[in-house]
Amino acid sequence: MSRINSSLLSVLKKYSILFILIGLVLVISVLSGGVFLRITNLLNVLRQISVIGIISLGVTMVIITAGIDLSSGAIVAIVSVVVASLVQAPNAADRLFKGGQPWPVFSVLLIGLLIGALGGLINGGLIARFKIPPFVATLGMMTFARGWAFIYSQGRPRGSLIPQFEIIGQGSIFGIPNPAWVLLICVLITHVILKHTLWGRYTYALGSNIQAAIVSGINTNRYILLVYTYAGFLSAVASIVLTARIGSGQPGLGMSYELDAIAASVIGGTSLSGGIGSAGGALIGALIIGVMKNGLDILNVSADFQQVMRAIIIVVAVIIDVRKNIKRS
Amino acid sequence: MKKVLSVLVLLLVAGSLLFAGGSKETGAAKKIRLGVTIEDFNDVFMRYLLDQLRDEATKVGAEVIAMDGKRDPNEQIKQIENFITQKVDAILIHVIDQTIAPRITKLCNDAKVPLVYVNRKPTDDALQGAKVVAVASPEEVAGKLQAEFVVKKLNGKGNVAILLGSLGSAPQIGRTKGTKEELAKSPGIKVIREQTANFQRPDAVAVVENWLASGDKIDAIIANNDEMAIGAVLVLEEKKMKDKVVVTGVDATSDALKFIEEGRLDMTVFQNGGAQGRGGVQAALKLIKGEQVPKFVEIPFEPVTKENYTKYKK
Repeated sequence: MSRINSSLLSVLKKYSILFILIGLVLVISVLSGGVFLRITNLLNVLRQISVIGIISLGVTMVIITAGIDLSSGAIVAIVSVVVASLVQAPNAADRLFKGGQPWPVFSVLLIGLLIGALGGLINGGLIARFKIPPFVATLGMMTFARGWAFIYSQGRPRGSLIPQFEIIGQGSIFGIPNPAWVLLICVLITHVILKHTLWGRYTYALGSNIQAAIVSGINTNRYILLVYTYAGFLSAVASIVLTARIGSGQPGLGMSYELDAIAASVIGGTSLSGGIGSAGGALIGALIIGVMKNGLDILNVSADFQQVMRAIIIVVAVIIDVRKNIKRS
Repeated sequence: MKKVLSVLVLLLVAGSLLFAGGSKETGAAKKIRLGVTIEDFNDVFMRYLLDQLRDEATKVGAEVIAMDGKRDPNEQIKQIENFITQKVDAILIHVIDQTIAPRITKLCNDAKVPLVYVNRKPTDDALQGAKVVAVASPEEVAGKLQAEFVVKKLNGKGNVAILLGSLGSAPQIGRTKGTKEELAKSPGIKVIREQTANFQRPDAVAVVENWLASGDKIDAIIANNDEMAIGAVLVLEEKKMKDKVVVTGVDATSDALKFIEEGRLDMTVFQNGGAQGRGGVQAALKLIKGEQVPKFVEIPFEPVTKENYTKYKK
């Protein structure tokens, strides 16, 4: 009997953050009189968390290596304006390239993803090759990419995108919004990378003990490059989804998204000191932030008070989660 | 490695010194120099305002030294101090926060530098001094125009939701105040929702989705700017509810005008950044020459709807 109890306790501890999410959902469902649980609202939540969720997957991998990525939001911006400028309707009033035709969507996606990956690659290069602390390197990329977003777009939003592109963010398949599909695919891919590949195992090794990783012959530079490139790539994915959703490329897009993504990652159990974290955790972290925002809006909590509530819920969630880790070690 | 880096740094520093020297030389010709500080270079409207200021200054042969206030009042005060040290002929300021205006007025009065408040009118105590004037469009008026339009559309009866800009920013406070004061005059109108979407389209999409999910009946959405209004329109169209909800914004951006043309957005408000910029430069020049300038020139906001939008298309 006591053995069953202790194993139940260990399950509770292991998945404490999941139970926090479930608790949050229950409270909001009751307070909103069931409105929260309506299918349309649940789909809203999925759509609303998709962008931060996708970014937080890459950020989680970076944090597992004991790094940090502050450039996600700015990469969202540069990818957004470049991609949008290539798929503007020919007669758009704010068309960046006057008189041109929209490019094929597939090639535009490729360009957008390459730009994101390149941004991440530069981050990784600065960190691995020049030994610049990740905080500084990605802070540099943050202002660098944001600056280029403004230069490229001439400081203006670029709208009137062709419907073939907008469908990525606005359409749905089997009743599930496309952004949610993209998020789920990214979660799966990231999960497989982390748990079932050498790359994933080395990612944890880098964060737990980099000296040991070097001594055991791991090419640490290569894996740092890979991880940051992947994070940049995912920021580009998120940017494309968001740009298509709102039908406009904007240089000011994604402001402070990096902080939301880091928050989602940490709420999801990723340790800022490295070595611990998972794709599922990041998803749950993003869900907790999203459910909270959605719930507070539905319950008509005032804007000023929402900020305070969110802070309290986030900190309490992490306190509960951290206590679990202390007890285990 | 370190050597290569230090050489690079040296080259960079040397290069920037060269450029600094270059800009000084052009200033040596006895040109009128105007110090301009704007709240945020990243904002579409503010950038347009700055462009208009520059164009007008170039026309009259004056030089503009433009500074980005970066949304930081303290930064803006530092910039004013620097302008005074550089002995510019006049200062034009798009003031970030009304509360720092008295301080800025005092700095300029003490240094005897003419000062023009552009776009935002400070409180009267900050308009003291012989060479301090304002060329502006009071934000309250924009909000009032939106409310008037909505009240008329709803025949004085219905539920209104307000999408707020970044909390504490001057347009958010002013426009919301104007909207609420005007709505309060109609007892049949109720403000049932108020939430910030930070002037951003994606934020507005999420907020309006959540509002609609709550099941409350909303007859009109008044947004502090066009980007948020467009976000609301996108959600309403997705839920096939656009014909039941009146949506208005402020700014008359090119996107918004297109939405109005297509019948998707009901109304926006045009803020005449061009007239503000030109008026500001002209007022500054008159002050420099010692001519009479009215204390406050109001550049009116103008309502834009399907009936008159063509006038505003660029």
